[in-house]
Amino acid sequence: MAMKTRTHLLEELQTEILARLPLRTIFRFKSVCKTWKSTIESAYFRRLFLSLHQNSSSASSWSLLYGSDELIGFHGCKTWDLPKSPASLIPPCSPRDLIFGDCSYVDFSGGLVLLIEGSYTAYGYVGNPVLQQWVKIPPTPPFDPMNYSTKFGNLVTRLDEDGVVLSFKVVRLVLYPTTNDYLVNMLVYSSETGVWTSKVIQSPHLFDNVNNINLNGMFYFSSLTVPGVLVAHDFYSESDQFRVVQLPDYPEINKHYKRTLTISGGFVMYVRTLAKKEETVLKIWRLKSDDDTWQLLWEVGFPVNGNYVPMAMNPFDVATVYLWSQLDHHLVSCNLRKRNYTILGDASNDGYQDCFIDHSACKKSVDEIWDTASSSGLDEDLDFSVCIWLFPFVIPRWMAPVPRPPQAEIMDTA
Amino acid sequence: MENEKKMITLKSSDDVTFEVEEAVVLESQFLSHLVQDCPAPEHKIKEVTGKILSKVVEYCEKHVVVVVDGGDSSSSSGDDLKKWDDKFIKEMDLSTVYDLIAAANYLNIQALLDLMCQRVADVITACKDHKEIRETLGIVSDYTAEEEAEVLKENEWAFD
Repeated sequence: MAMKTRTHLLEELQTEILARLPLRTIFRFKSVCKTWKSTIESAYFRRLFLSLHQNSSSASSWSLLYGSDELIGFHGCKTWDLPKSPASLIPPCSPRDLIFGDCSYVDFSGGLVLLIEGSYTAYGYVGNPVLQQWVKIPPTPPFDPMNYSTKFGNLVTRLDEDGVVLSFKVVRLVLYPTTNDYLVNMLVYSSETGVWTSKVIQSPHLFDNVNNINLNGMFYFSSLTVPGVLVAHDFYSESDQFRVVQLPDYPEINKHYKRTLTISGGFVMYVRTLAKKEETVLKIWRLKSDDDTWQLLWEVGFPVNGNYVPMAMNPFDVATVYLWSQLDHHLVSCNLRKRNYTILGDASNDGYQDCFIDHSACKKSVDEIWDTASSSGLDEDLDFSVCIWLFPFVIPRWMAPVPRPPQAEIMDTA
Repeated sequence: MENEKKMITLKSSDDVTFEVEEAVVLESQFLSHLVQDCPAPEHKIKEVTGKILSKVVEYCEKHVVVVVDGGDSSSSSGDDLKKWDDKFIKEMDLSTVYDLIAAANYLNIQALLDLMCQRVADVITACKDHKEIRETLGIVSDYTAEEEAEVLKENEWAFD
């Protein structure tokens, strides 16, 4: 085996070298020469980049949102090197905003953002806040005015195994009761066809479509009528039913349990804390999407007490969970594998200087979510509450352009 | 450990010889296969010069010692090793880095290859724009002015 000439070898190794750079740097340097550009755009390069950046648990950029409030933001990761936290890249959608008009509602999926207006006659926008690239979504077609009551829209995406968005769907749902169950009238805009279609499907329970967890085409809503269950639907399936997913610890009643639904490692996760005298006991389940069963992943006691509530898990690392102390008003990051924890946002803690924490917003949201839930004085069964209101907005680990629907108008706001 | 240390001689393309322990050679996938398949006491590596081979040997010796000493590599020896690596690459000019990348690739020493690629990556990151990269790495652009402007516009978000 002869050694290759230096130039030839460097061409080959340049892929190896470029893959070690943060994405923002990589994209900045597509303009060096054509070889670099085609290297960066190749599928091989993408795979290599992902495999080199998968190990570090801090290698992700994401924000935890409660409504439109950003509670926590991580942006300094080596994968991206973003200048700002992900949520702060989302354009403000105040009525005065000239670019996006009156958009008042936001939903997220697969790193994409949906900005939509209450009225059915206006345009909506789906875009990538990092690339600042937006697709204009036409107004919904006219339909039965009885059902104009909802002003919300939801966004689902289908991702490939590398986390690249292949397509998206904008969904507007209206529920109405029938004798035995609920009918859900849905209007769906698909990026593959560029048109709205309507469909009626059944749901056994009433749910609230504002708060949901969505993952790879699936929506999980919390049932408003029956405690301890979620209703789920795959918007990429042909099914005309909402499925019922039983929560793993129902009906274990203990008013000190704090439960949160979140996403980590490509799965829906169910995190529960219990504050004891000397420790906080964490129990975490993972939802297997093929048969809707839960698998207990962790049951760990941490020697911390401060009335901790589960906020989120690291989107890419199922061994990192974030808890908020209702007593000390701080956020801790627990490593379940190593069984240790760190208080985030501490000035002395160098590793987390790129972590943004809005302490007052955290306190306000946590109190709102858990205090009302536990002091409601309702009967025990209804006291079984799960937090489904904290949503992680995650920047994928690779940047692909926003899927372009046929005939859609693309806007570049960069 | 009681087993006697087996010594192996490596000879560079310009006939510089290095006598190293077998454990050091095993850091390289290529050399371990060579030593196994051909149990001669001396091995000539025609593709690597003495200057570069000395760096390779220095790197492998350091990494072997630490692994053996530290047992299951305690964190302090890991930190020391990292410091040593940092110093090792800091003193090197880009041309040597390239030669070492080529050698590490040929001899199949993954950790050294990673380290050297990271060094070039750091150099690239430090460049403020594509022009500086071209200058530093000696790359000639094959874009026309229009093409370049278009690519720059497409990736404007990355420059904020």
